[in-house]
Amino acid sequence: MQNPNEGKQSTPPAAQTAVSTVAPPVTVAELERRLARWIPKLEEAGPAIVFQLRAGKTDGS
Amino acid sequence: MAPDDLAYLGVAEAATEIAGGRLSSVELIDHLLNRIEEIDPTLNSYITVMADSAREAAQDADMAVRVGRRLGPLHGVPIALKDLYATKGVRTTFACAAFADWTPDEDATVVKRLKASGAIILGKQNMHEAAAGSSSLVSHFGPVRNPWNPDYIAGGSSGGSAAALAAGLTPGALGSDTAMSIRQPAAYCGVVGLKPTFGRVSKHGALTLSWSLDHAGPMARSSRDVALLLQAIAGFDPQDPSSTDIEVPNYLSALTGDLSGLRIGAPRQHFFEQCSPAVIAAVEQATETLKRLGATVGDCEMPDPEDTLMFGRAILRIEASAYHAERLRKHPELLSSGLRDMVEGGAQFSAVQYLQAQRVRSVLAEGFRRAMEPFDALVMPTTPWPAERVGEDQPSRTGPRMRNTMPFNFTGLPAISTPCGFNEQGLPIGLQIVGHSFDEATTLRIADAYERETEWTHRRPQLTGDEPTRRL
Repeated sequence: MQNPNEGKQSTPPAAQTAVSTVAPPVTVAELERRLARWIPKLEEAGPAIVFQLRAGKTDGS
Repeated sequence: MAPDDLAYLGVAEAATEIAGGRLSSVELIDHLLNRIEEIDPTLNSYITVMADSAREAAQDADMAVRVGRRLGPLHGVPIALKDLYATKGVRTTFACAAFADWTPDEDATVVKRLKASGAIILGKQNMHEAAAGSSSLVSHFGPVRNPWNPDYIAGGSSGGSAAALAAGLTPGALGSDTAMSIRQPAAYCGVVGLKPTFGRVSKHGALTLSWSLDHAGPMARSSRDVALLLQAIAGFDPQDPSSTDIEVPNYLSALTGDLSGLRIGAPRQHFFEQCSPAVIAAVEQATETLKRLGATVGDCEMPDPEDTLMFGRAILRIEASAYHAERLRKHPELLSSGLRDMVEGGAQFSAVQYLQAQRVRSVLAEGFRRAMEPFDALVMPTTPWPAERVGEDQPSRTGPRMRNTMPFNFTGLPAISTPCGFNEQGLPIGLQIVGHSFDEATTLRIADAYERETEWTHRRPQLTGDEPTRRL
């Protein structure tokens, strides 16, 4: 992934848009849409680790 | 010491005064207990007040001073806990009917560490049910109100902790933060809250909202006090699989008051957008103060912040669904309708979607790391707007409220909120300072220097127990 801040010049503050105060829960369809954009970039992601082994002793010794 | 001084005595000052024999821990705790009795019926910030055990521990702390024994850096200082940290022999309710009668037989690791530092547990604090919301209005024990104006929400989910700090009902607290839950209530109530780096503070013995997004962290009325509390609770815990075995620095020594040479980034895209004008004005003024203190502040851009928000919200929902699935099946009546909706909604996602979202997360976390390389820290508003009226709250506001905070649960980076102003309704505004992973020290250094230069952390809400307009 590119570093967007390498050699960055100062830019004016972002223009203020109308404030949106509500958002519905994320849906399956929305997640799927966003994932579709990311799947081609997941080569650099590596595995998703959801299991980690605890240390052999739990008293920290 | 004057009563108001005693109520608003900080953690560091209380520890010094008690250990030096100039203040009795019993006197301080009795004062706070009386104040809780007087003021808390309005705020509802506590679920369980541990008056007897706190008084007993305070007597032991005072006796230790008399015999020249120091119990630790928090000697005799009362600290309160969000009611999701397990306390041996004391009910731990999660502000949820399903846990209302649960009495653990062991303290959470952070509770053990606080006690080992000499702290005294004052009570268990109210919160949004199961940490699954951002107002603290939904609690099995009734709603929490904002001390600056009880017609407004205190934020959440650590709303009771933030409200109690602002009202002078405890000098320090432990909260938890899955998407905003330490920093947003800290901002809404005008106090300081730190979400440490993922893995810095043990979650063993803390009830869960989302395993991979939950963080335990300290809250207080100054960054110095937050640093003291972090010092007590930080460090590897083999009982927590997400705990990281990395050295814990001396946080107090980082608080130099000097920001010379520090490079601070202001990510204006996303993080300064969709905010109220009062919030932007306060944060812009804060960046000028940071410059005066010696820092350089430059614009920067973080990669795909909207996606950190969206994938973070999806992961939270899915993990919460897994955690509560069996409870929902067996005792749906013990979960509020909002929590049931969240659990049922999370079950709709597939395992493949969840794992792909976690893979996106690793790419985005690396992107954030690289984008931060030219800087020592980032600054931005903690929340897009200050606290809202109780009657305006609705679940669909939770997503926008976490706009600036969830990206750092998603990427695991440390982030602190400190007060930086008030809006025209007299409600506090929070400044968020984000650091590199495991560099809580720099966020504390910046926040502490800013607090010394400004007076926001010294303001107190007008609160009395007998003021009719403040009764609900």
